[in-house]
Amino acid sequence: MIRLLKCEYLKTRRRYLLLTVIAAMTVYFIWTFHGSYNAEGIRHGWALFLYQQPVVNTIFMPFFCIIIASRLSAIEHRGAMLKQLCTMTDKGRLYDAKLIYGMFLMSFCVAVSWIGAVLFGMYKGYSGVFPLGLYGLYFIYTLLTVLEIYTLQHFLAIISKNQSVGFFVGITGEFAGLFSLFLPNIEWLRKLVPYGHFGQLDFIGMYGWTKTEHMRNVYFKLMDTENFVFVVALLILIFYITGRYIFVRKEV
Amino acid sequence: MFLRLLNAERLKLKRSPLWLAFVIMPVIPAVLGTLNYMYNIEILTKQWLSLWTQHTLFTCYFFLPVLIGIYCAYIMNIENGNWNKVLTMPSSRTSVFMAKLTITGVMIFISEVWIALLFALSGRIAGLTAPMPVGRMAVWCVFGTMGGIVIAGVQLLLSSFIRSFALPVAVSLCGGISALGFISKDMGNIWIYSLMSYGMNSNSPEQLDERGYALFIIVCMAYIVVIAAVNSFIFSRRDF
Repeated sequence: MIRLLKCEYLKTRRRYLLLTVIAAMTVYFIWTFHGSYNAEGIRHGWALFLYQQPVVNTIFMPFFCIIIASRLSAIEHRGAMLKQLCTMTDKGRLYDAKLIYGMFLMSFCVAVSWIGAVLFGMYKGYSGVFPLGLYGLYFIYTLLTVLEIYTLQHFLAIISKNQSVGFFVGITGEFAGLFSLFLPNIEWLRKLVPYGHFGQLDFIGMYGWTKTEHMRNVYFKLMDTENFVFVVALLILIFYITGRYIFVRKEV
Repeated sequence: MFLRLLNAERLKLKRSPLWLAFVIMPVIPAVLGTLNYMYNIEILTKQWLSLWTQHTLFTCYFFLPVLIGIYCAYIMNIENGNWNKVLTMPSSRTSVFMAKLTITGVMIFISEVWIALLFALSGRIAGLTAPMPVGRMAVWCVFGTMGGIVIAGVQLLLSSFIRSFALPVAVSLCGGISALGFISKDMGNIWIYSLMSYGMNSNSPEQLDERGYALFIIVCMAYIVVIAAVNSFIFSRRDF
């Protein structure tokens, strides 16, 4: 497996994959941190970030997954490399190696976004003590959702030679997931669409916001999302097992 | 000859599932945007105009630019390994590019009409009592198509240079996001990637009406001419 992972690294060398990730993260940071922060924003900074970020993650993270999964699989589809590779190594192991390598890149994205958020909060001087426990939870939830989406996108990208298929499914799912965040009355939709699970795992609720008073009387409350984490973990497993099974049995 | 090129492009896309996305995707904002409108009817008081923003806001900034990016990447990618044959045809390189741009423009226009049809249907289902702004809808669709063609021109150019499928699409997403910034700075009518959302009036349905239509048309036309000229210059000097 180590050798296969090294092969994946060599195949993507000088393909600007890391540069793509960095460029994408730059856009992510500009979006996240752009804007003026008033006194109320600074006072509630740490909690407000946790409350708002799932929407930003729903816009950006699935897209990063789509791009990275497509880039890693397109290398093999172009020039029918899968035919050669499958004569040299087990198909299942190849599927795993690509998945692990892509997951590593996505985990890097999530870690960078987390570190960026913490550093930005410190730079801006958010009030109160940094809530390490809550941010730790946020990191785990974001990472799990990202890995869930990546596992699905990896399957779509490697199974279909036409990369537009993965893109269309991903973009359509992302669109539905994004809309589901604005429809709290239809909770089943948010649960149903994996791309909207960032919102489903949003464990902080904001209360007391009014049109006239804005954030003056705002307070935050923790919400119970623990059970859904297991659903996300189970979905990762289901996507992985199903995807691997289909890929192994498919003629390349 | 140009009509033959168009027909060839049409044939290349035959049985490709690509058009399905243009049909399926607008259904999502139509259904969910209408639901959102109905849940927030006391805040969204401008009837058809409020419903229009619900249908088009995310569509114009994120999803239509990305869809156009995917579409352009696809129709350029199918020529990879085929460019030598394409360019030996008795037609200019500019014509080949313009045929691809035209077929993309047709696709964008069809999806705009589809968005308008879904909008009309959603308005009826939501029980809107005000008369439907048919004239305005036609303008939004035509101008949205014009803005979309400008984006498509840039994306086609990018996709012809970048062999990767994913990278030009990523650029289109960044472009769509940058449109938000330009529109908020009141420069939506000059930035390439904001032209479509500006033309479709997705942010504020009165915006384009107040500014007048002439400037928008001139800007779009100028961009299309410049993109065609740049493409012609680059294609004529490039080996594939």
